[in-house]
Amino acid sequence: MTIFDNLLMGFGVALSWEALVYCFIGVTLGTFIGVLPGLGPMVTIGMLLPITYYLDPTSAIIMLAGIYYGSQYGNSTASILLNLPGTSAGAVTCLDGHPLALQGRAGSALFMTTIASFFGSCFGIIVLASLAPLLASFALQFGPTEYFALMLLGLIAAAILVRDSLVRGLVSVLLGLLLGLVGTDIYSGSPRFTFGFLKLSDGIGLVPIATGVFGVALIMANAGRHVVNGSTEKLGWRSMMPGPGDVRRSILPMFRGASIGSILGMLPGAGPTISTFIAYATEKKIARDPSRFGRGAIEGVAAPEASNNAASQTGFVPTLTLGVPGDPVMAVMLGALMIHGVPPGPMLLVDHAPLFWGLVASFFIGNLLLLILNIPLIGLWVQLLKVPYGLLYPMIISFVCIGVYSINNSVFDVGLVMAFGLFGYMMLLLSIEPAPMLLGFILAPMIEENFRRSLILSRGDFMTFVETPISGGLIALSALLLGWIIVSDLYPKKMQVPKEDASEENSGGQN
Amino acid sequence: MNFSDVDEKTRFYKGLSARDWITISLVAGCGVYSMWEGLSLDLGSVRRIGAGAFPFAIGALLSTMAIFLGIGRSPESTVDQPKISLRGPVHISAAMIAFMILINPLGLAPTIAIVTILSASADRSLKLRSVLLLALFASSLCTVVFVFLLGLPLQPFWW
Repeated sequence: MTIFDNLLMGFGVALSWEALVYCFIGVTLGTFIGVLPGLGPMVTIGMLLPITYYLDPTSAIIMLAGIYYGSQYGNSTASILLNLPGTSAGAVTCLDGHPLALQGRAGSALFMTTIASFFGSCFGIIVLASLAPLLASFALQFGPTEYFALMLLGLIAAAILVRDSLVRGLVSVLLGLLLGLVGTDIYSGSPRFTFGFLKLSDGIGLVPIATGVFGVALIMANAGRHVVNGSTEKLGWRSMMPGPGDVRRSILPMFRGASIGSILGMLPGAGPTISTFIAYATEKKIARDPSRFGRGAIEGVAAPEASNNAASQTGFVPTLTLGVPGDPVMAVMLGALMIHGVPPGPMLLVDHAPLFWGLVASFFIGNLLLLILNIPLIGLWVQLLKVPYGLLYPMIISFVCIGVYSINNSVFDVGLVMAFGLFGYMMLLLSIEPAPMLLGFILAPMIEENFRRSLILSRGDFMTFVETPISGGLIALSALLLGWIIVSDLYPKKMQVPKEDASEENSGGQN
Repeated sequence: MNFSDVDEKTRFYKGLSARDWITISLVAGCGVYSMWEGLSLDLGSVRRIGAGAFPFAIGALLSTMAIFLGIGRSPESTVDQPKISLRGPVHISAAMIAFMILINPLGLAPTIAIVTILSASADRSLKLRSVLLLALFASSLCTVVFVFLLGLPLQPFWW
């Protein structure tokens, strides 16, 4: 079967009445939470996970995926209008998007981000559809050493994501690995780090950790603070028209951004956030007049937006074909698949072909829906930014409590969410980024199992990790990455990463 | 972070803030505790790695990182430190504890109203009337959506 036959089959699945409805719910909800600062896809998917138990696996995953890539669209709205990024990937869009809004060109900036997002997504979907089957057949040769090496690379990439300090990134990853070890050791059956709680012997659930550290912690930090709200600008059709030269100037950056995003999205650990930074830095580097960046260059909006949307689509490649999630949201999605009895891995494309191709086809449909949702209806989303935060966060807390409680009908889980909320708040105060921790937490059991299995198979010979070309190559790449970061950390002048100063500019966005 | 702004001196431990010391001691504490936990389990051999090896190794790495945090340059000196406020954490925790205690005896609707009131009271700019309206709205919305539309196995009231 060629890729076209497969896609045709996929559209057969994705165009069914039920799939369309869930796709629509997913992307709408995704845009909604993407627009609202402080409520990311992670928390929403965590809250909705118990609800998807009642759906069939294809609809469930189509809806959850819709939330994920939909939020990448919504993200840019708050970044451009208020200089408040909804997720970490949105921080880059603030750099040039907000200056554009201050120049009264918010409409055309929003229009270009939507177009760039759509272009990036379509690019990513095509990469996904053409590479996933190849990688899946390749992945059949993966043994425990290869999986270990791949995950090691992912963890190092995630630690580097924290641009301020490599050490803090590594601390975050290591803390996550420790949390991931909580529970019963699979080889010996001895309990580890359970502190006498019987409930911990199964390990800590992903949802309590993720909603606690990403959702509740941020609410704890922001509740009671005056959060900037309200944008007075009217956005009509006329203001959405791109300015002279905007489209022409954005075509190549969109293309470059989408390529960068597609490649980095497939690397576990890199994901949308890091790819937006690299896309932005690339544009700035090759621009004829780099000084325009940071003052409202349309390329500085188009390239990162194309890049993060491409990355959020190609992120499904390792998740579905290897079963190795690239970022925390993907891990929750893996969890959702496994709950429904669909084991991710190389065999997914064979055993559950309708699900895989249906999902790919639903990405096309979802992105078309997002185009419709975001261009004519942008005014509606802007209105949403006027709802005071004080009325929103108590509702979010209620939803989080209900969502987490109903997974296992367990109040202990709600307590865990609270504990991790406090833990995340502390990490925030101590400037330790939570994202690498979560990736460490997710990969810990897999990385330990594959490491131990490799050594059992090789009878204790450590050379096994570098003997095969794939795992040797991955280990070499990890070492290179680490070495490069250490060197650029010791000789800092060479690495100047864009850094927004959100705190100062917020006041400017108010009037 | 703009490295050129960093004073050469702050690259060493003289420039560490109180917050850095807290970070270092917490990281070192976690590291040492997990090494100890690892040792109390079976470390195993290279051929057959035991349950304690990973906790021990991660603990050792964490302790090493604590040392690096101490001698490395501190980002605290250049980055705005987030302000500490206990209001948010205390109110949100209280709301979640209330949920844990009340959900079984009271049922969903009254519990959500109480959770909403407790968490909303972290924001001083909200008037009592709007808090009460919000509580009413949140509890009816949650009851309708979760119990009636989605059919989650939750009791709306205690009877």
